Amino acid sequence: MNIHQILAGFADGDAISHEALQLREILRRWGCGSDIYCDPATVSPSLRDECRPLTAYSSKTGDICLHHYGINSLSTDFFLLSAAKKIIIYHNITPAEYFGGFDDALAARLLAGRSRLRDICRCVDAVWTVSHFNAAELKSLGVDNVQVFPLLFSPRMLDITPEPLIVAKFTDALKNILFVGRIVPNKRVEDVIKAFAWFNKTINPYSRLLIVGSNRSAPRYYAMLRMLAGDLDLPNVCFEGFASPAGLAAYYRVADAYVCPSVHEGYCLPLLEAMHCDVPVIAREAGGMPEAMDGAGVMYAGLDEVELAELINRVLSDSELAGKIIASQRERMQKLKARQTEEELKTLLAAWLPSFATRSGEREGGQ
Amino acid sequence: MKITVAGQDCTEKLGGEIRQKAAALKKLTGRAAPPEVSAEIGALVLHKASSDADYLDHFVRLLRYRDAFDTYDFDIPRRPGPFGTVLAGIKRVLWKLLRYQQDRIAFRQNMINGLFTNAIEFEMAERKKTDAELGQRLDKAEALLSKLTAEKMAK
Repeated sequence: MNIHQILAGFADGDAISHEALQLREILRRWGCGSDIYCDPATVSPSLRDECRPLTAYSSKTGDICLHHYGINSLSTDFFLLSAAKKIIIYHNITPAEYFGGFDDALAARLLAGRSRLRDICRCVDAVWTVSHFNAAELKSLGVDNVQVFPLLFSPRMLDITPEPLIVAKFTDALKNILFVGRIVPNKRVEDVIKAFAWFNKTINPYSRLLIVGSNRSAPRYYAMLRMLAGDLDLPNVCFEGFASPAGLAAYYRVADAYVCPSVHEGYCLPLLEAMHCDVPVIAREAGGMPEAMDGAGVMYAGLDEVELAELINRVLSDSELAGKIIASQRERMQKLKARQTEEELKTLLAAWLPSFATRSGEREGGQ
Repeated sequence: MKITVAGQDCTEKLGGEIRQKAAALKKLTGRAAPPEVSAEIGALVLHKASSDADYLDHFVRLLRYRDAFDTYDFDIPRRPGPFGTVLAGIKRVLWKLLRYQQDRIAFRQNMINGLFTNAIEFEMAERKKTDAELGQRLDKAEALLSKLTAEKMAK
């Protein structure tokens, strides 16, 4: 039996791509034929050997096709034409208004993605989402029977030797405040820069803000952020760009706190990465982030930049508070480690894979 | 304001302390606080851009205000203790020694930056002129085409 996946893009450092790779690993372990299909134009060079072109995709009745949906693309059309049982995994679509003025073409694609969302969900066999936040969004559109399969997190990627040059560069007396994520408008990176301006100028001049993530998704927004750092006279704001896995591990290694001021996230994997590396996490209570945090770390809402600067200061200077945060994050990581991913997946697929249903039934009966 | 730590609502206690300290920080002015840039020309005005073209117009306008760097003195942070005092003193002396060269380099660099900004503005103005001319010619061509089509239909 084949359970293939179709993606709109396949790139290093992308949460959806990582999930697809993990799912493929599980499915192949079960003995299924499983490949990842993607438009070659949207595949990063390092991952070309890991996927096949969309045009090579073929299906037959009895197969299953998983489509990771987060933007309107050619891949969705291929998916909809598939003869296999169709399952859509909704990763959330960033509201187009965030990109207005920064990238009109991308805003149009996001808008098209949202406008097709309900119709697509209605002509597939199952709808999965990576968070309850995403599920609620679909339910508000009138999509029923949405099942939640939380985004997969594999700490393996971070359990490697951190890039020594980065560790050496940023290991000094300065406090490192870290942001990791694509540099796009919904992440509200300007909020952490403004907060850092207050932190650096009024609280601790021996501090540095590390902004790590691809700056190619919204270059105009990135230009605005650099201009803002200049306006605020902040030479200690370091725009580091995209990081390799070893680079990412190094940034988490040197970080004293991780701050995520994003206002729209389907889930937000970097929060889990930071927690795994024992970096205290401060995140805005928005979108799917409370689910990713699951009661760990620090969540905030309604803080201005000065208050956020003071909150960062408290987390960095109050060891008792930091200890409490780290303990809660470790607990969260333990919960994630205990997650029965394969069982969850089998339950979700049981309707189409009778062998799994039988095994689940036997197990339930045995208990 | 809402702050949750390890799943517990700390808005009242921790939030209250933070609000109080933040209020004190907000009273700081001058070099003790982050520089203030007028909202009209601040980088975040780019959020108001309604389209890619509008963004470019805003961006070049903002660039005009930022194509030169100033040569004012800047604040040298000082670590606590005698070692910090000595180090800050050395840094201040070094800055005074280098100041003259820095001013000369700044003058040249600012001149180059200014000329680049001019070049971008000239290029934009020229492109707008060409676009307008092409638009007019296209309008005329479309008008002529519809007139000819109507005549052909009448025959």
